[in-house]
Amino acid sequence: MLPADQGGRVAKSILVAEDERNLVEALSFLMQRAGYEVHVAHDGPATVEMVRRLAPDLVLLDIMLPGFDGFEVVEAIRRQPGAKPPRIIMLTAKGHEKDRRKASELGVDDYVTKPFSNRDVVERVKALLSS
Amino acid sequence: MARIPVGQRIRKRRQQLALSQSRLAERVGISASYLNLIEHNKRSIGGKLLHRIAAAIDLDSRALVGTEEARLIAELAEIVGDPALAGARLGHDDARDIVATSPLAAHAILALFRAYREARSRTELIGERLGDDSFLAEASNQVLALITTIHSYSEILKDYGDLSEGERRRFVGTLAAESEQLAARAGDLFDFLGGRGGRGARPAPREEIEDFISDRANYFPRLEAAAEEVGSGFGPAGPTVEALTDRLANRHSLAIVRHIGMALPPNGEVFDATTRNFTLSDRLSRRSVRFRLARLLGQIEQRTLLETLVESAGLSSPNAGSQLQRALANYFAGALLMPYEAFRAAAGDLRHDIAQLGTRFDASFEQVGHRLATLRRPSAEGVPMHFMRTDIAGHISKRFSASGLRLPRYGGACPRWIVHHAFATPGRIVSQIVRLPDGDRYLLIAKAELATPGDGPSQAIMVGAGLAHARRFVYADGLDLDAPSVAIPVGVTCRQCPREDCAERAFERIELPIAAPTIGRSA
Repeated sequence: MLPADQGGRVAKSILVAEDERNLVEALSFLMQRAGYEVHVAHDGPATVEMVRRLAPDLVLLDIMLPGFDGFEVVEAIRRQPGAKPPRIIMLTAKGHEKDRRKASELGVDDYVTKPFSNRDVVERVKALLSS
Repeated sequence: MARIPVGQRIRKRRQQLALSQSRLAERVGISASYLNLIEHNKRSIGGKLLHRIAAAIDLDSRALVGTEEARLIAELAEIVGDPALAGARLGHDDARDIVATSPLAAHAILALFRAYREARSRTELIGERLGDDSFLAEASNQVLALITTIHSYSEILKDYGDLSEGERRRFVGTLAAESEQLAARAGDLFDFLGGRGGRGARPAPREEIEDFISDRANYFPRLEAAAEEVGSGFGPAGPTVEALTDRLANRHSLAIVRHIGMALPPNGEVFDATTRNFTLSDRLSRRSVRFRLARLLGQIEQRTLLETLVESAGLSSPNAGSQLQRALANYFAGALLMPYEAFRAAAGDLRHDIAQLGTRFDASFEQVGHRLATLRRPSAEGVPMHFMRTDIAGHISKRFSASGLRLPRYGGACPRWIVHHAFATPGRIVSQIVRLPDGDRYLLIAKAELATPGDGPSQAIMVGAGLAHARRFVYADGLDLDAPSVAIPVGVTCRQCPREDCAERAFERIELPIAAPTIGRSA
């Protein structure tokens, strides 16, 4: 996936961590169109590994990856030594209040409830990556 | 300030000490009848008499009087701590004031709180049940995932006018596929929850089929007529395995293959339209083989009739349609092997001895039991019966009732029903007489068979009739049907059963309307 031309600047990169393939495709499409470089992971371990290897600027993290609690992934990412940790936006499910509370306790940067509006996701990503 | 009623406490204490009213009254210097009035709170006491009574029953008088008041205050103080009353900001002093001013009001508050707490825990129980139910949780997750995708894709198609042809086609394709999935999952969810409100319920295939059969009173005259006609074509020996095999071979070029080994599907049969082979596991019993051949004959020779009947049912899915087709073909087979009039007469003569009927018609317990439940020809009816089949875990796989006994729609049946106990004595016919909470009584007859490889899982069949017909059954012989002890008190399902003293209760009763609080001076 090639970064869009942004007048010479290196595009920011986003890791989409989501196991629903169709949703991955939609989010990848949206992020690419918004000018970001997109990488994809489908489970917890792959997510942690790709954060370590690629150092993305932001992770769109589903709360429930196969076998893993999204929160565990957040903690694992935070524990990684070295480079600046990525921003994290969690994708949570509607009606799960306690997930949102836990997300803010963990210091996740933002969360989006499914089903989400595309515009909303893109705006939140842009807001976090422009600062 | 109102007097605190202590009569009850006096009476209780007196009884604890095994003291008669007259003895205590004598000790205290009052008449027994006056003491009786005191004990029933018809007279209030205080001062010296209170002290004398307290001494006579070995209680501190302050404890005697104060206890109830103190208890009330303590209870009230406890509930002001409940989050529900957090807004009221009541304290211990307020509790004391309330009790002092109006004990009745205090009792009322406590009764209301108890009722609220009970309602709250019932709601939690239901919520927990719904939340824990893995089907519901799984289905909800799936629906949410599908909606999320559909929503996102739709927005993409709307907002991005410059999609390439390939992208557009891909997105639209996925959108269509996900929408179809959503329709199916949402349908499953509604099935589970029991309805779509205004649009009416869409039951699961098995329920649809049971409803259809029930609407027809489990009697299909056209299938009966067809079975009679086909049956008349067989010789005096009737439709034996050999005769059925010959007919299938001669008229339909079908070969019956007995297969050794376990490579067949769990139901033990495979029909191959190309090779014209009907393969049956060699582990099947002769009765099972005969029945399956009769069913196959029905499926082939009565195809148009079966299709017409299935269409008339107006079922909501092809899956339900094919299941019904098979059920009706089974009906035909039963009618062919156990012709209506001959069978009904035999059932009467043999007093519904299912084993003997099985011998006479060379049919299994299930086949005979099922046929008994189909004897609903107008003016030539048999005893109205019910029929039920369960697995060893109590899951019901087939149900029909004309006996008046309601068979559970969801979940398992009352643990006291003999159908469960039949598994303890597989192969034996067992029976019981039961009484429902509304007083109705039934004769239940059951038999369980343990799993046989190639012929299906462990199953139990239960049939039966209302007690009014019991004299026509051998299973009621020797029983004093009128004796109350003979009938075992049962329910239908635990969740709806009002019996409070049942050791076998597996689930709490669900009572959704909130019960009115009982305001009074209960301990």
